[in-house]
Amino acid sequence: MAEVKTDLMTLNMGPVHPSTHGVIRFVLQTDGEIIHRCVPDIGYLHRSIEKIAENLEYYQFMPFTDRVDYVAAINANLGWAVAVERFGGIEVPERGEWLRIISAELVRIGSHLVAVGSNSGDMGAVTPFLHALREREVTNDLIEELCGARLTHNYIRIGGVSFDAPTGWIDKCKRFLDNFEPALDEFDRLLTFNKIFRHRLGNVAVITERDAKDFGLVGPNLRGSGVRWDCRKDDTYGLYPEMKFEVPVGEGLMGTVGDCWDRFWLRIQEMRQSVHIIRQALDRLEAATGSVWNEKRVIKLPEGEYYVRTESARGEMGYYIVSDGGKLPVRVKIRTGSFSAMSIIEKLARGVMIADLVAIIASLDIVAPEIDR
Amino acid sequence: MDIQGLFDLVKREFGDGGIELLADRPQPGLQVAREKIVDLSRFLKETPELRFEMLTSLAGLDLPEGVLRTSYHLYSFKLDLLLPLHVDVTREDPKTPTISGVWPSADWYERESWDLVGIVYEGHPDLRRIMLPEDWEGHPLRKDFVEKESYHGIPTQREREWLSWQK
Amino acid sequence: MSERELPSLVDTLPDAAIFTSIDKIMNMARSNSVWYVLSALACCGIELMQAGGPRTDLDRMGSIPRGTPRQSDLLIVAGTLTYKMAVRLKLLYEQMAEPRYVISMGSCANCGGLFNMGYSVVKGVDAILQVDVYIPGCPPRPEALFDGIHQLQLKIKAERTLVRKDG
Repeated sequence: MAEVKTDLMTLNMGPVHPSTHGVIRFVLQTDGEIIHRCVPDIGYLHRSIEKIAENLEYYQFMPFTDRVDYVAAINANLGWAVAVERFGGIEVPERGEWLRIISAELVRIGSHLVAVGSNSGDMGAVTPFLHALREREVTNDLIEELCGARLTHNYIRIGGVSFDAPTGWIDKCKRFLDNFEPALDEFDRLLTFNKIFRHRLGNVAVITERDAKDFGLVGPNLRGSGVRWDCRKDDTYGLYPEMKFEVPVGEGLMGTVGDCWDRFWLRIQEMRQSVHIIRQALDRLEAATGSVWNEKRVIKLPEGEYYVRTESARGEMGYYIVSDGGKLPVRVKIRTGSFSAMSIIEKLARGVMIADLVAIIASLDIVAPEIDR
Repeated sequence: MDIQGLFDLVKREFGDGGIELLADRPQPGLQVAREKIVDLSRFLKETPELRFEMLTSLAGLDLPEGVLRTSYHLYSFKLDLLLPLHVDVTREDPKTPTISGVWPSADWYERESWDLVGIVYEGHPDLRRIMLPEDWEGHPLRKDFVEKESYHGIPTQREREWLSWQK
Repeated sequence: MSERELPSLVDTLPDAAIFTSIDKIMNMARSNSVWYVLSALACCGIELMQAGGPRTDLDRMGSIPRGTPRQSDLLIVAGTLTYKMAVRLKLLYEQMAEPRYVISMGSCANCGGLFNMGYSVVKGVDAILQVDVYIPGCPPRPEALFDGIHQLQLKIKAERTLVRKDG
């Protein structure tokens, strides 16, 4: 049989694509279905947030931090508030701290639901995506009663939170948590240990511990490779030291440690831990009294550079503030987990099929505004 | 080990000159001359007592009096220590050696710093724009950046001019 | 002949006869199946996704998301448009077959919104496309998007394709 001459095909997985999580683009060079080279192209949502920060005062910048990670906006708000308070010497009242923890963990549950749901939707199972959205709508309602917005909350203020919990909110939270844990078990029965899922996600795109640290991965991506590091325990802030919870790591139950299945399973375990934290914080909130916001009219940071990290849904979110003693910052840099996760895709995507590339992007939980800011 | 012990270890290896300790800041760090940054990074990563395995962040800044600074933040899981490093260059000669050979995550961070601030990283495998379009002119995060009138036919004027930062 | 002049004819015909114009039937069919391209750019995209979800169901109006512009009638620009993306969005619009409509959702697509100060943001999508319906909000609630698509349906029902206005 004569040899057929083949060539590599250049394929564009464009900015508008049903299974990329936002506007990101990949240029693939494939040999049939197997990828030889994958070059990511970002910047389609670069909204110049860091330049805008140099013209606004510290408390005016809070709505922009919402838009850095819009799926879990309260965590981004909290990072900015902690960064300014730690070096500006501003105290937060106790009731404000408990409300911060509860709302941050509720939003983390909502974000992990979107991650897990869209992961399953990309694999072809469309119905569990709607199950996840149904649960997320309840968390949206709870947060909307608290702060007025469903998506870009702008709830945290420097020195506290903006509104107190209305009457009856704590009972609604408890009822949601009681209904949510059976829903997570239903997810497990339907998806996590499903044979098709195990074959699609197990042993795909294994990230070793050394690679994860070299490329700067954080959050569930790093913990899925076996490194037990969580900002809430190891570089702690607020009243998290008084909460008892565990930090799950990937164990390679259905393949190797650090594959896509581990990261999927890890997010479901983290949701269970968040439920545990919220229950403890609700009890402490009922006992705490007082105001929720220690308002300061003029906020100035002393001269110098500060880097503060908090744990958002996608990993450690770091705010690097350079100040010259005045009311406006000189430079603000936001370090996010999705930027590093994007940079490892080029290495992971060699020799896999295009359908596996979709699984990789979904399991790394990338959102476009965190990459581009 | 605290920052003073770390600085003594570094001084024993590299001698005087080029590396200073900034001890009176809220987050103490090191000010490094640009010739020493690659060797220092490799030393910090591979020494068994230190093991700074993760480059957490790399930021480019535009400071007054024509100084461009690159700020690195390294993290060591073993010591639980976050270490800032600063490398200063001038606007006339904005070249810094790349450390993407030591930590692969620096690759994209340095591309972003080149794109937005204009610091040139020598030895980088592929230094091109990452956030802005390929044919954009200027480095926006510099303090004296001036916008063009239009981009490919799309006007850039705002409805209310007080919204612009060129005050 | 209008329906009011011939009541006896209408009485004797079987119940399954309707007198109307072709335009009305065509517009009724077209407006109740407006399929949109799933092009979510930013935060409004999450509200678009949740509007197609279980609580506010866009499917009951006949609108389902399609993956490609060649199978859709409607382009919902949901989110901030940047200069880098503007060229691609125009390409997307040109790939849609006529009759095609554009909804500008959210304040970033209407006028640049929160990011008006930014150097890389197009100040409103009507700089490059012709918009039919503007939906304000940051982000608009799914009910607001529902109302916007309803307004588009009313607009489609008022179109005259066969009978021109001038004769």
